[in-house]
Amino acid sequence: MKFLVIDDSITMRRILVNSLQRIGHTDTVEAADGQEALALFDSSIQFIVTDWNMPNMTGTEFTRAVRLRPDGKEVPILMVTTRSVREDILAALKAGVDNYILKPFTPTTLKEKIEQMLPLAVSGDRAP
Amino acid sequence: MTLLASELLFESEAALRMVDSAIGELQPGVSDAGAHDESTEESPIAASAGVPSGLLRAHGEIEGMLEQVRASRDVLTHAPATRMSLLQSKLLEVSTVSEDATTDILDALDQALAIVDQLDVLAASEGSSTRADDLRKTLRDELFRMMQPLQFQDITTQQLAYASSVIMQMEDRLTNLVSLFDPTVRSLPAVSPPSMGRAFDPNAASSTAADQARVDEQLRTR
Repeated sequence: MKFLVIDDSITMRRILVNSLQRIGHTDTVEAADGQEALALFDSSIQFIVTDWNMPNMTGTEFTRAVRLRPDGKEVPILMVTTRSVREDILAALKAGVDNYILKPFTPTTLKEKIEQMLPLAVSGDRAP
Repeated sequence: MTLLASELLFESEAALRMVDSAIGELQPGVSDAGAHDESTEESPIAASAGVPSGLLRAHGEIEGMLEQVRASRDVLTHAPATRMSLLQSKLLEVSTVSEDATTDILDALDQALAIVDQLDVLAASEGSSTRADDLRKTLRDELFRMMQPLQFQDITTQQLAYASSVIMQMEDRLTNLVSLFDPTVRSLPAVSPPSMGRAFDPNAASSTAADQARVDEQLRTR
C-alpha cells in the first residue's frame, strides 16, 4: 500500500515515515505542503497522512482538492495536527478528512487509526 | 507596549491632531497647522485675532503635548524596533538550531537502527541465541521510542513562529504610531530580519492522551 505523507516539518515527515515503516508500510512518498502533494497525487496513492498548517496549501485545502478528483474521492485521509479545538475537527471532517490524530502522536495511536481506516482503502466505503 | 496601549495612543494622537488642525484653521492665514510657512505666517498674536482665548489655550496645550510625544519619537522608532528585530533573530536562531539538532539525532537513530538491521542479517546467516534476538528487538524498540519525543521540535517551532508573527505585528503598529509624528518614518529601511517562514497553529501545544480521547469521542459522535 502506497502512502503519501505531507508535513512542512522535515522532522515530522521522518518520524511519520519511520512509524509507518515500523508497522509494515514501507512504500511512502513525501511532500512538504498541499501544493506539492497535489502534484504528486495520482491513483497509485492509497492512503494519505497530512498535517494541517502548511505554507502554500493547507491540509484541509489539499483534502478538498483531492476529494474533487475522481481518483481522490475514496482515498483514506488521516490528519495529524496540533489543532485540537472542536471547530477545527469539524472543519477537517467537512473538508473530507476521515480520521484525526493530535501531535505529538504515539505509535500505538497511529497504528490503531491506520488499522481502522484500512478497510476504507480497500472498499472505498468512506463515511459521508 | 501592549496592543491595546498602542491603539489607544494611536487614536488619541489622531484625535489631538484633528482638534489641533481645526483650531489652526480658525487662525487667519494658517490653513494647515502641520505645514507652517515661516515666510508668510502671521505672528501668533496677530493670528489669534478673533479666536476665543479658550481655544488658544487648548491649542497651546495640545501643541505642548504633541511636542512631548514627538520628543520620544526616536525612542519609539529605533529602540523597540531594534530590540524586536534582535528578539526575532534570536527566535529564528533557536528554531534553526533545534531543527538542526533534531535532524542530527534522527540521523544518529536511523544509523543505529540500520546497525541493528545488519545484526539481524548476521544472526540469520551465522546463527544467534534467543537472548541475542530479544536484545536486538529491545534495542530496536528503544531506538524507535527515542524518536517519538522529537515531535516536540515541530510544536515548538510553530510556537516560535507565532511569537515571531506577534513581534512583526507590534513592529508594524509602532511604525504606524511613529509615522503620525514623522511621515518619513515609513520610508526608513526595514530592520526586521526575514520571517520564520513557517505556517503555524497559534494555539499549538503538546496534546495529551485525554485530548486524543476527546477527539476520538467527537469523531464517534459526528
